[in-house]
Amino acid sequence: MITIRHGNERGHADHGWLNSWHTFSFAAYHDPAHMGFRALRVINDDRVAPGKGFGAHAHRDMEIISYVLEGRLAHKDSMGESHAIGPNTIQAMSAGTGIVHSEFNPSASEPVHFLQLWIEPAMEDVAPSYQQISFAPSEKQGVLRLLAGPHAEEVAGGAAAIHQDARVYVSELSAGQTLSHRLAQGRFGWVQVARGDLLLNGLKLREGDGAAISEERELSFAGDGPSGSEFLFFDLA
Amino acid sequence: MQDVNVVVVFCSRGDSAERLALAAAVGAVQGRANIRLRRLPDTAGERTPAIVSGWQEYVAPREADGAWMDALLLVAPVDFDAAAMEAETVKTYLDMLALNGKPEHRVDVPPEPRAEHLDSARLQGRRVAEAVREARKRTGV
Repeated sequence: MITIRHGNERGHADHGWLNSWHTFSFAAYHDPAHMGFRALRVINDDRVAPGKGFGAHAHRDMEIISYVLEGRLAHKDSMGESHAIGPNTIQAMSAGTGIVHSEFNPSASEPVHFLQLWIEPAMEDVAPSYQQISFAPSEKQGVLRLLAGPHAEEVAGGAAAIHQDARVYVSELSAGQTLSHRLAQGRFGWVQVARGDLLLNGLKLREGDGAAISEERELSFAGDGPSGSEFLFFDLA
Repeated sequence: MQDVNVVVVFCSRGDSAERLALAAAVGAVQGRANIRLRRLPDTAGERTPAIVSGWQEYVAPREADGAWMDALLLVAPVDFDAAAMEAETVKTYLDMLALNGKPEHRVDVPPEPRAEHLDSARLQGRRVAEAVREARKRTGV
């Protein structure tokens, strides 16, 4: 079963400096029917104006992943980490026992567009940590490129290790390009279209759309529309 | 479990206060409190370089903090006293918050904090959160 979460039905908040679409309940947007999917708790599609950002705030017991689509996103935290990331970089933070961080757009002229993902960890009170991994754009072309996964040995060097039985992939498909994936027995999936149009098992998904996948094993992805698609795929317990 | 809310406010004399404020805030989060981190305006002029950037990294103190919080952690230089240039700013802020008997704690910032000072600030933040929770258990409020 594939259930589409249309992008224009998501929660929306426009604060001027921040234009955010919430796939699941977040902040002032609360919909009991959309509280997350399996361990996936938050997908925020954020656009932050130049020189603006999220002030220092705290997190606890959450795996927080940021993926920039356009522009740059700066990050500073209580662990002493201070970085700016752009596209084709995965930033993952395990909040664990507690962290304080801020995020902002360091550009004076360009907005930043990024997806922020929260995944509930399988255990509480882990030591806070920060990971940042960049990759070549070609690594996501036509394949599912792993961004984050549960086992350090599995993701060593190329992806972020998270404290949950979940894998996050990114892929970019040109128009007409196809990709197949087989979900393991009992696994669930979520697809989030970051850019362009995508066909998921023949179902049309547009930019901002998501899709919950249950009791499906064979998945086919096809870039659609004039420019294909970039999308995230979550393999969830 | 009922929320425990802690405001951590620091004077921005160099980055030492910021580091200890972050440590204290993390401690409060470890104690399962919600936190608001506030930076008081730098009023000390040229002798205190503005290491903390002026963008929205730290939200300005708000009157609503007083009603929201269960406890306050003030992070200030160890030589901070009534004669210090920041004193008026702090006093104005505390008056604005209208503490109304809510506990106010102090984290002293040495000139050059070491790891043990950060550990101490973290522990203090955690104890403040836990103390609020314990007090609630005792009083049933």
